[in-house]
Amino acid sequence: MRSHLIWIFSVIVVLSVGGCAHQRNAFDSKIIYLHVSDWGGASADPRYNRIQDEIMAEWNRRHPNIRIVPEHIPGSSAYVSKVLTEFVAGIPPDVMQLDDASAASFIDNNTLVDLTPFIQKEHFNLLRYYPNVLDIARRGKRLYALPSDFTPMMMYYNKKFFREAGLHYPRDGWTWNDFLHDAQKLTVWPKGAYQPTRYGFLAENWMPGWIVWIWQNGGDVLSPNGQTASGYMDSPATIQAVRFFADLEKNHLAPNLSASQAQGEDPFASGLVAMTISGHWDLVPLRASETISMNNVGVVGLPQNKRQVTVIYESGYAITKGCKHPHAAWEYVKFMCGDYVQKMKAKLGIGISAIKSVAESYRNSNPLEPEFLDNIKYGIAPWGTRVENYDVIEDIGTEMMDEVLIGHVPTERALKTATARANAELESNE
Amino acid sequence: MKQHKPNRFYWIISIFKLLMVLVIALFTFAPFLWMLIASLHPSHGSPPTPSHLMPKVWHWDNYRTVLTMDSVPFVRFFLNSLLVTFFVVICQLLLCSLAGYGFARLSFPGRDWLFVLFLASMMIPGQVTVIPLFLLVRSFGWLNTYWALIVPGISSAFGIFLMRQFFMTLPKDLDDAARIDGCNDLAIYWRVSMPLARPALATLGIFAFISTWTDFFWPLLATTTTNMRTLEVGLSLFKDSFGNTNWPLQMAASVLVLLPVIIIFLLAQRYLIQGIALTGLKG
Repeated sequence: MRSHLIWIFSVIVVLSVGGCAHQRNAFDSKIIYLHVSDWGGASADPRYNRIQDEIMAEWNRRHPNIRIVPEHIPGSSAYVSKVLTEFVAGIPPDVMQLDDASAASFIDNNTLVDLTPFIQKEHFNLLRYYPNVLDIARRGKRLYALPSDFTPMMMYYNKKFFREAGLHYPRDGWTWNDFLHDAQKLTVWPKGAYQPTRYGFLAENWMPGWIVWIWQNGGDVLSPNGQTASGYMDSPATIQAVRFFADLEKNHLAPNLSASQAQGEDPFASGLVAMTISGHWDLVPLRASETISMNNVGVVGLPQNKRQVTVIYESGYAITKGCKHPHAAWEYVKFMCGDYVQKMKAKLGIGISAIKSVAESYRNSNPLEPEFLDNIKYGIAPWGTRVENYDVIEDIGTEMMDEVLIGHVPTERALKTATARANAELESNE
Repeated sequence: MKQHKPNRFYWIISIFKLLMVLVIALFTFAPFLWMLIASLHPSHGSPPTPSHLMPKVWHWDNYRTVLTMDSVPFVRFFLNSLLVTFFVVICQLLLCSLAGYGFARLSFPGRDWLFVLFLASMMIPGQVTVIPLFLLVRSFGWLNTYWALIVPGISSAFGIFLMRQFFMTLPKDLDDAARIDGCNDLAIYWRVSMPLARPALATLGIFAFISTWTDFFWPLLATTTTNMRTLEVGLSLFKDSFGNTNWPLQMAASVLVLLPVIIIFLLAQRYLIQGIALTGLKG
């Protein structure tokens, strides 16, 4: 019986392997096959899958001789590892979706094609894109990707809790003091309770979430050329900002890490916190949420201390070196970052289109959209667009915040250690 | 065995012991139980909290939803994982026991050096070998085929080590007796040593099963199309799509991935414990 099973399985394997080989031979030589890596795939939202299908159908209608062979790669760190491995092995995809937080790892390793010759040849109009979003993949005169969609990080707040606390809704241009005052009023700690039942804010240890506080305070984590952390990550402005952020939790205005992690679901949607910082993508689960009504969701620019600023998280499309059909690839990049696809994707509301006219045409699609659009001008790209392996420095920052929040290490000392570790990492990049 | 008449003290101790074991078991089992309960909540709802632990209606249909989803072909992932794991386990049992037997019983020049070399390869982390392996598999034209998923896993230094140590414990007299009866080395291996090695084989089988079934990075690298992905990669795709918005479906998918591991563990548990006891090895 057992040997039968083995034989049956062997036959299945041989057939399926043979089947693949046969398929490959059947590729028509006139038709160009473009391999595209992205982190798309499926979604819980059936509209997402339908719109993806429509986009593909439109592409096939416009370019019947260029077939797209997509590879959907899950998980953001797995995405970078997999695509880099393919580069090392000499079989990269032809076109790849490029996340701004890991852009430098691809651009600086000379793996992407400069798009400027295509742009000049066709007089392709770059002015249609938001300049600060377009510049994410720019190195001098070279441009390595067209932007697709993006989001500035914004402050989400629960309008109902603001009303209950007798507070005005926050408005653009509000300050750290306003924020602190609101967070105190919004925190609810019933007498005799072990901990607050509601917190003003959600302070997470995740560095991409809190780096904006340092920028708002006029500090930074790296020098302008991105080569050292000394004098920046350990500067007085940075120390003050990290202290301000960490004190939110120490003073019980934000849940401690374990409490917010144990929650298992979005603490903002569940009503555990009254304010949180997040991107446009959060609108999708919030709309689907049964615990919070969209009428109670407000969005406002981030509070400022010395400077009004936010961080932009973006994704674009790039052509890889070694792509055998760069002209076909350029057509695809233009298509994905052009009007048709951008309008289709804007309907889903995950991100904001990088094309100004498309983004503006959705200004009145929902009451929160104007706030997002008006904050784009304050957005700057994360360090990952310019510094290779910046994700390692983000991990160091996250661990530093853990030391401050959980280990109760003094802020100054924790930042000093993190500066030394970041410097060692930056040197190994050289 | 002679029956002792249990006294009252004995009963109290037994009940106390039983309670302790039950409490520990409950703590260990709680996350799995939570997973199962969460998977039966209405989809799109929030995960269960202590105050709303039980769903009003048991939503077994979540499992059907997961299994019949067009965009994430879960049944295909399941079959892929099953096929790959089956062959890896069978091959490992066969090849590792053969090599282990050779190292334990045959004497040839350089045997111990060779064995040390095998042991040393256990010290090299997988991340170091993954790119050379990827290049090799690519040059064979195996990318995105079952070969790429199965062949790199068919033997392991750990498995050879485990089997060798076990065969060393078997008395040589058995071999001598078999040899007098006319057995050659291969026959001794197959007819005498292998039947005695069941506990070690079960241990190796379980380790091979779990490591193959739960492997994420290699299947991700070796495959490119969605229909060649294994369950672990599929689950990650699923999590990207549903993780933040649909806990019950995500948990239903996770239960499906975990179920074979639990079943195999329960079936082979007796052998596993025997194996640990006999070889003095733990996973």
